[in-house]
Amino acid sequence: MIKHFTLLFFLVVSLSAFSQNRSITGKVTGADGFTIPGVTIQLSGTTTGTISDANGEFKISADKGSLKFSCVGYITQEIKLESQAVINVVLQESVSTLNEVVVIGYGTQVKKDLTTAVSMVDQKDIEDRPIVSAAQALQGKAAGVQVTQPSGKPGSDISVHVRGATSLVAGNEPLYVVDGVPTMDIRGLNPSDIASMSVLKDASSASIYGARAANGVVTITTFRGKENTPTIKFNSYFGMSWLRKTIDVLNTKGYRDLMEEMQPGTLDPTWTGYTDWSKETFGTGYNQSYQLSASGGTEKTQYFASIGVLNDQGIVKPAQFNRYSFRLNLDNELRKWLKIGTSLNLIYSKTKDTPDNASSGRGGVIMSALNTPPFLKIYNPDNPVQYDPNPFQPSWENPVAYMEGPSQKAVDFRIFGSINATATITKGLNFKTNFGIDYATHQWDYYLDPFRTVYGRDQHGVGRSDKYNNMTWLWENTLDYTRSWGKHKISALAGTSMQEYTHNESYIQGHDFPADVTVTTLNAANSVTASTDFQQWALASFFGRATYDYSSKYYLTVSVRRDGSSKLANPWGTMPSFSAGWRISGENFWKNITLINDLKIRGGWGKNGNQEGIPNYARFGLFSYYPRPATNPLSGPSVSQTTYGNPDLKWETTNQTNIGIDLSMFDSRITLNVDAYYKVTNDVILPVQLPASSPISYILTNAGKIENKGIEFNVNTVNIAKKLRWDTDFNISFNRNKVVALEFPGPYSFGHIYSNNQDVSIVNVGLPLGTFYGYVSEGVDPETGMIKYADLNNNGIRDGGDRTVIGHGQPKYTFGITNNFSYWRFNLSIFFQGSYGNDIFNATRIDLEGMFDSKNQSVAVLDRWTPTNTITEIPKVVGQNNVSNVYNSTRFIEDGSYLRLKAITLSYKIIENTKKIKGVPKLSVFVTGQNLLTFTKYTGFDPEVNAYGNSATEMGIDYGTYPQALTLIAGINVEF
Amino acid sequence: MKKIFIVSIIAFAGFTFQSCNKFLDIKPVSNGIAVENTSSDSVLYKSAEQVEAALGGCYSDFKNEYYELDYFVNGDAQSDDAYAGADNPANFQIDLFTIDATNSNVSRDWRYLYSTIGKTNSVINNVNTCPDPLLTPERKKVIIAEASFIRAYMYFQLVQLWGDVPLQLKEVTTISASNLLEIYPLLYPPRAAMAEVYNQIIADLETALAGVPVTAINKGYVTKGAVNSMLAYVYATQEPHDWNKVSQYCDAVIGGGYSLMPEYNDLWNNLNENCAESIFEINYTGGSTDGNWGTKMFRGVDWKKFNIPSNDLVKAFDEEQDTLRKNASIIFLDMTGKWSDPDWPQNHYPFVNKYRNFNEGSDQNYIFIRLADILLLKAEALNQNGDVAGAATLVNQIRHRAKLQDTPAATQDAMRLAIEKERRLELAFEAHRWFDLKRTGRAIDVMKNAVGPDGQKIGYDINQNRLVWAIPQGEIDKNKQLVQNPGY
Repeated sequence: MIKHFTLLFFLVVSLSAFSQNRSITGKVTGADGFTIPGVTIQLSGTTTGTISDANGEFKISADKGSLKFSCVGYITQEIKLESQAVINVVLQESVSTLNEVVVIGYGTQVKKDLTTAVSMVDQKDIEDRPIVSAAQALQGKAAGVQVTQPSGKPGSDISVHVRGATSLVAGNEPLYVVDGVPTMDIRGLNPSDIASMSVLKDASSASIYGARAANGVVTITTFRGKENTPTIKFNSYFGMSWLRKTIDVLNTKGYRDLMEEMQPGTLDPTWTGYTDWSKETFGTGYNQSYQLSASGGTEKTQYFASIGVLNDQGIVKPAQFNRYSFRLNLDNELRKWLKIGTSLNLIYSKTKDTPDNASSGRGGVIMSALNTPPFLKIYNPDNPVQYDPNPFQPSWENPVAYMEGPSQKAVDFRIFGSINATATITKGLNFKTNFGIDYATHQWDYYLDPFRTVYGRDQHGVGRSDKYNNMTWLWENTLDYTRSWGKHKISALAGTSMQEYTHNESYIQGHDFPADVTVTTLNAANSVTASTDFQQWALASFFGRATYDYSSKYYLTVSVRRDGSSKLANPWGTMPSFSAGWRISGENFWKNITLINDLKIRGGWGKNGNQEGIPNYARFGLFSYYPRPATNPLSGPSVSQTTYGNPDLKWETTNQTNIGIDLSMFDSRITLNVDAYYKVTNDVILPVQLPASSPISYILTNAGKIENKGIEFNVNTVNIAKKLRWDTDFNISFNRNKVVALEFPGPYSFGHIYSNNQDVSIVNVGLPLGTFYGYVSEGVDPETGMIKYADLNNNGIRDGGDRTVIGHGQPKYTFGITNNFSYWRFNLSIFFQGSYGNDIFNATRIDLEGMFDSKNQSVAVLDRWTPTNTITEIPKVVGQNNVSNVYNSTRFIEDGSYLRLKAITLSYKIIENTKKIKGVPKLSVFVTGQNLLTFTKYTGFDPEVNAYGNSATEMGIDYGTYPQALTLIAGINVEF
Repeated sequence: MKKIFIVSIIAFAGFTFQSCNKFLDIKPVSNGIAVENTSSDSVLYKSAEQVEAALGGCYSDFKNEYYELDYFVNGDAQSDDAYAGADNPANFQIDLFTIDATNSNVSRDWRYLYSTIGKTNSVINNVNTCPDPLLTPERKKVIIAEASFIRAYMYFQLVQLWGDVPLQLKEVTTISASNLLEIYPLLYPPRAAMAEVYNQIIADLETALAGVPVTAINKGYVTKGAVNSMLAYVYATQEPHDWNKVSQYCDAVIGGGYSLMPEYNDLWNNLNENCAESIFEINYTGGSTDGNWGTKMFRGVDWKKFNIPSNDLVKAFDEEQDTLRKNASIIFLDMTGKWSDPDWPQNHYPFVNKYRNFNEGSDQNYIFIRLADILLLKAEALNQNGDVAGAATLVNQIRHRAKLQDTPAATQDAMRLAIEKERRLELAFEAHRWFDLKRTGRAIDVMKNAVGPDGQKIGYDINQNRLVWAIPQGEIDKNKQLVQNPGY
């Protein structure tokens, strides 16, 4: 009470004392020229203050001292009062993200209170870029998160590894939690709807998701309506993309010379035409996107609704990805104590595939573009309804036949969303029930006509149809409690979760179609086979978390989750975690250190599980059925055991220790986050590969141990904060991955290379995953013209014992650096991203420099060994039977390091917040270049590649992989 | 209101969680459970129908890629009768004796054969524990007999191709901490000596002989004739050869009610399936579930085919003026503008003609064992035992059907070569030639003298080491107990 009186007293006194106050007016704008409403303007040392209005304007009575301008998200500025009557202030955006809200599992936390390792990416990192999948937005933007786009094919999967790979078969992708609903697939999610993503990297942040959290958790929050005037936003871009570089192959003369050397006299002298297959294959891609959203609300009801249309046509036809997405997020307050939240997302997408990662003889379009003999034409000149058959092997079609021969399309429809209700029981105690649903249908249809292709003619038309639906439901109930008294603040959470997944698939294949090519459905096939498949799993969980915070100085968090999985005979496992933090800068002794305005150290330990890739019925030994001629009387199909069950199978558990420092200096102009971690995955599930003398090729068992340790740095700086503002975000991550133990004798081989029938990837104790294994090439023997391999076991012959480790698919470090410049209405963002120290096994070159059959070869073979050209890197022509020059060896290992200008965006704000154009408060345009520059020594199409997609055991293998494109887009953003 | 809402939700949530373990107990729908992995679970096959279906699975393997295609590549393309054809480096390596340990056919053939052995092991070892009363002891005996024949057939392929091979007679059904030690040696077996493998083959065939029926309408099922034939082959192949045994088992076949078809072409015109001459014949009914995919690998004008008949074989037919069997075995087509190859002119290009139904989902049967083969084997046994005249009678019986004169061979050595040639012409493209050359010790000599289109020797680079294949490198990598064959 006394306090209040004193305040009042001072107020009165001050009013009287400064009675000669003059009136000062002004306007607060941002660096971009837009006015800022809601800025607190305070006369220093007093309680006199005001707030800027909707137009950023203010009026205050003052005389001397200084005015302090502050606003959340901006750097506070103080202006000394002299004799100004008008003070116009430009506020710089704050870099300090300390008060940002971070979405963690089953709750939120303020960033400065975090005791765990969490990386954040928000809409700013997504907007104005042709990002199709949210996972792409993480690339180079989050320390410790390695994102690789294994192919440039529109709509293809993206590999995301949080702090290294931990598993061979159980999966290495993080769990995504979209508005509270877990999923492994965010391909359909419209990135424009995403408000923010947090990557929960360490065990203690992720462990609330227990058995699915070992690879980290990415929580994704979509936009929600706010209580304000309705806003309509429209964003759109249009762009084109091209192949970044080409690979030159032999022309007709070069090819004829080569074949003449290989098989004299077999080439018809009239075969002299020329087709540039690369030109026929690689074209221009088109990208376009239209996003329209509306949001707003009242005190009781808020809404966000959006429609997105995206069309991504690749540089190699027919690959394309079309997505139509609809979202409705609603928040309602039904009663004072009861709130309901709804998130509903409908996604409709159409995908066309271009087959890649395959030999030119097996339908691989990219290899076919390089390997098809140059004298062939697209269509058979004698019979233009057919593709020109390859005289050496007619089933090896030209790339146009592979691209355009079949008509195929996948259509996906997905409903993803949740409804939740939160009831406030008493102050601080809330009960929340959340029902989530993820329902997806997929239909893929394929038709190959009976005329144009060899295979089509042979089968007289082929039809295939794959339809499935996946249904996941989730029901979660949580009780949370927060309370603070004095300097103490506690929060506690307890919950249960049930989840069930059902997969129901049918596959139909038929052939022998009518000649009428307008009828493409399988009812018209004369011979049909069909099958259906049904899969199911369920997960039941209990979890709890408690946090304690003393004066924002000392933090402690404890959590535990107990999960039961239907996949295992012993379903239950418990996963605990602890973490603690200490804000050193909050201590009294730190008061005088002004250079560093915030310093916190934190540490944690936790245990997580991984059950993702475990087959649904891994605990059982299973019979499979194979059709056989009907018996009399009927007795069903033939049967044989096809999997070994393992009753002892348990999920992989990852123990992770994390320590970190968060530092903020110079008024938050420099923030630094450093995290170091040590992660050991026990009970790694191995597909123990059995000798073929056992009829089943592998057994799943917990028999390995994999270690990941690393350190990651994240630095954000505001270099210049004047009229020109220059920010830099930099992150770099070092991860060392190693297989520490294998109970069954290794090595395990993966990465089968088609042309030489050898595996190039190895998993063995002491080696990281993605290690390449093969022979050491000593170059071409000038005497024989053949590749000489090092005789490592010194037994005088070349045999399996001469193989050794020849490279590593995993990088030593990956990094990203974004420089953002803004001046007046311009903004320039330059984002480089890269990878260092990884090798690529360029298997494409096996088929391009091997000279073992009729495939066209790259121009490199012009320098092949001949009796007169004996000193060369390229061996001699060997012909039909001999693949000994193309064994998996160091000959095909290349440095895969790269530095890439991933995105450069220039934007310009045409309309600022004035009344010049009524009703259009914001309008901006931008141009963005993606992958404009790539610095690399790699000779293939692109260093960001993996023919094996997001596999953890095979990394960095290039075999006719759909290359990344170089893209230029221009776009517009309008807000009404 | 508020209380009711909250209490009811919490109560419902609690109630649902009561049945948690039941919620997690999910069993497969699309697969049968072979091993439940519970303590009470010791029976693999619970019903008679399951056992029959498992035996069906063993038989089905005579229709896998090995027996549809590779069987013929190994027996014919590897010999002087056919070229690899097509485009596959693996096949060229087999044709030219340049295979390396990573040859893809070599590794898949090993896998296919052992995969079937695993299935037969599972049947042989588990039939007797099947509790279903519908499965009579008599039927159990027949099932074991049939599975034993199939197992012997696979091992006979293995031992001829690779020499010493692991002898896998038990199956693994599950892996767990408790049975790990027990199954470890089963998972990583060493190679067994050839003699040991042959002993097992003979033991299995003897088991089979005691149990299988005398005849079958569908000759894809094992009969005494098929078992006796196999025993004759085995004794003619295993070193040292036991010609008395060969003779004995051939006689058992010959006296088993089989007879030669009057016309040679009747065997190949697809009008006489499971004919009187046929002893073991893989029956295809065609269509998508039971179609023979292999035949179109040999015939057709769409893409380049495998096992292109060789100049050397055509020359052998021509020298014998054996047009009847030549035309039944080889067809020449005009392939101008389709593809080219240094061995044959485009306008006169040969294909295997014994399997004439080569459409997709073909119902073409394959005859694996037939009487003419056994008659010639009997002739070989007689000749080896000094009965040249007896051998001549049998050889002439075969030649007469081919409208050829009696064999001029009069000495034992001449007769040996006459039988070799007769088998070549009679049994061309039936996957016998390479194994015949091997067991008679003639492989290196014959291959070195094989001629190409210009009448010059092709110069196959073959030596003793190349008579057996390399153990697949992938298998050695997985199983340290396996030792590579010399020369690889």
